Amino acid sequence: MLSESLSQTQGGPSLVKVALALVSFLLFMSLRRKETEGVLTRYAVFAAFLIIRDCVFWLFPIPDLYRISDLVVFAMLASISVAPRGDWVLWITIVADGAAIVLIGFKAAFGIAPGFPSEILRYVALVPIVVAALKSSPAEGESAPGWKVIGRMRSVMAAASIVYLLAGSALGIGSFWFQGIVIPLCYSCLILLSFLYMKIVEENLVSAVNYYEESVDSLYELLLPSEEGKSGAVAMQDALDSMIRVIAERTGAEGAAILLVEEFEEVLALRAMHGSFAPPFKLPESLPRTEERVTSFLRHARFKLGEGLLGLVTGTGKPLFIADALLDQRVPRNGEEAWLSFSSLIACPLLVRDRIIGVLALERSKDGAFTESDFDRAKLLSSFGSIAIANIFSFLEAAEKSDIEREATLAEGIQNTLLPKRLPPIGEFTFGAMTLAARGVCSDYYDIIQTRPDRAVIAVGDVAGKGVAAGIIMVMISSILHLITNSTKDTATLMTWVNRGITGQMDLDHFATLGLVTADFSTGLLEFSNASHQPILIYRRDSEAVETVDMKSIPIGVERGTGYSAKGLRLHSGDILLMHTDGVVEAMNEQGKQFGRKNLANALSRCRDLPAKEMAEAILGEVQDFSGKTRQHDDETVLVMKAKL
Amino acid sequence: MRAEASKNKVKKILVDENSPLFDKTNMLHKEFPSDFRQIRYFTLLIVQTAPPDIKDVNLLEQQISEIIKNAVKHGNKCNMEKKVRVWYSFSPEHAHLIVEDEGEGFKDLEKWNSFNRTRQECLEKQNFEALAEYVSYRGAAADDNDGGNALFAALEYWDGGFVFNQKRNCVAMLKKFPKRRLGVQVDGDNS
Repeated sequence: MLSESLSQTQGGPSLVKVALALVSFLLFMSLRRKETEGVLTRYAVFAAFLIIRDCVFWLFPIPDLYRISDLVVFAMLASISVAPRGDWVLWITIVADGAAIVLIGFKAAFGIAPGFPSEILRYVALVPIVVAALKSSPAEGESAPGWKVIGRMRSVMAAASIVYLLAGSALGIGSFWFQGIVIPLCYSCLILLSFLYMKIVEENLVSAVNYYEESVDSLYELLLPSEEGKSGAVAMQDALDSMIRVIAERTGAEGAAILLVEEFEEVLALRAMHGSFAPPFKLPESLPRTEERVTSFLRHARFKLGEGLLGLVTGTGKPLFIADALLDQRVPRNGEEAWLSFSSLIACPLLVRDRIIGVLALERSKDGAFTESDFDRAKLLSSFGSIAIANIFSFLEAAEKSDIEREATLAEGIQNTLLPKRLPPIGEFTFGAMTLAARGVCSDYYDIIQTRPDRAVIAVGDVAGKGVAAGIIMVMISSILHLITNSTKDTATLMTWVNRGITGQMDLDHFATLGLVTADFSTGLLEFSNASHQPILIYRRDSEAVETVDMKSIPIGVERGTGYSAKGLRLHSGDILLMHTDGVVEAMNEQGKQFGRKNLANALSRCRDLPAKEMAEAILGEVQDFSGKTRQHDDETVLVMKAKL
Repeated sequence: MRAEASKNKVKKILVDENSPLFDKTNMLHKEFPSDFRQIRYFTLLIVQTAPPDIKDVNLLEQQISEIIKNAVKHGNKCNMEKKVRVWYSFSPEHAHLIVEDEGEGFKDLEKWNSFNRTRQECLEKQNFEALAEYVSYRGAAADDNDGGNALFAALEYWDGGFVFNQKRNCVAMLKKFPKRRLGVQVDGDNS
């Protein structure tokens, strides 16, 4: 009777059921491709089983077979929502359902326990569902959409299961109402589930986009340059201070610190601190536990790389996350005071390529523990922060180099302004001079100051020191010389006056050697006064020998009261006067030998017949050839005065 | 946890004629009369060859000045006829100096070393009462202008060595300037 009525009502409802199961199967199949957890694959298998079950029941409409298949269906459903993590729930399912299936099967096949209704056994299927529902859901705390959807659908699925079982009993398994209405309604839960899954995926996407937007915001804020116009160490400190503030705000840290590896030593030193930062290392027992003393200790302490919690980070280059400091043995206990302890710690290495430049430490003490997402944010910000720090370092280094360059250029400018551009002949005398300035030194000076048509003062000097500081002294000497040479005073007096003008004027080292020669071009008479400068060399045309004229004295700038003397000389026709600075005779070759005065005298003799200007160039050319590739340490200057033949 | 500096071995002035620090190859050279007034000037002449990259050039200048002062004053007894010879070479990584005078040599070298050792021991034991006796070293020839601390500072500063020759009238010294660098290499296998 029953089987007949079943077969009559099977056609239409079965088609609806199978169609719904097929749609959900196809939905699961298309969505499972992007899902990594495998939840949707299990649902797809589940839907496939429903299709097969319904087709079989269509062909063999045996209620007990249907009951057995129901038990399998519910076992599958329970295992999907708990497996693979579900352990004993799965065993209960297998044991309870297995026993029910065996009982129903035996009863149907052998008619055992005829008084025991198979319909009751169908309710065994509820056991795993109930147990699974009571047990904490595997979906809790999971962000994967597959698990999330299970969590959200649990109550719907449980309700649908109960309605399904009760309706089956009340309406009869084979009834049109059960097969045509209840089952399709229950199956549509699967379609609902797949839609819900899509919604969750979208929600996750939106929150991911929000997260990245916020990350980009915080990166922007992190890398945004603070006020302009800061330079050097100030710029670095500013950058670190604003960096630590942004990172602390974005991660919700109550205390934060940046420690950097020192530039010249392999130790970590605290460079920036924000909020209340409890030291994550053992403080010395003797240190008084007052906030002032501990902060001061932190500011001056140096930590070896590899030591303590922060050292661990610098040693390995890996970030550290301690969610609950109370449970971690590595966290030191420094005292009872609240500000001496923290409840949660994140420490990220500051890495630039494979170099570790420091460590960022973040702490919370009250507002609950840091989360994984705080940790992610801290890692992101610290990696960008390190790049910013590295850029500032390179910038400072470049700025320092450019400062050095600028100073060198300035000094060269001063020197070039002071040196005469042209040296026109005076009477029977021609002049040539040349300075090869060593980069950044610029301490040589020469000048020819014509005071009357037949008289001039020739000066060659070398300021001790270099750069702009030397340039200033050079300006002073030059100014004084131009002022006083306009008098009728003798050379020794001129020198004494220069010395008096320079000595003790400024809080600056101001020493120079200076050679002064006053020339009377009508007679060829010279007066030479020397302030510790190089001797003058005179090539004598008649003897073809080089004469050296020296005078012992001290440089200008040493003692205000120094009196200088002078020596009279005379140039005859064809004679050549050569003045030079120490850079010429002390120029070194690759063997470490100095050019020396003898070589200079020889060079002078060799090029005696060249015009004065070319002579100066030729002599310095010889010095350069001698030096070869050796670095020029000092300015090299020669000045030549030739009496016509 | 802290990098302790005081645990260093007590430094001392060495006497070693064969020290590589006496190798004068490729060093610049100057010689000066023993004129006490010109010490600053001589120092400047030497220091001006130092490259501008050297950070604390004032300290270097001060240290060189002290050494030349020793040679002029204690070595040559300010006798203008006697010369002070200086060999020097600088780079951003080092300062190397050899200073030779024509005097009798540093006779009290051993005394000074033992004085320095005791001084260090007092410091380490925090025995400040005894330390008061060792504030500065005063040799037999010291006058009121000698601080008595120049050599202590020199020994600290010239970290590459501070060596006298056998005759003890020539001293060679080396200062190493650490190279500035950003961070350190991470050990081990890290991504």
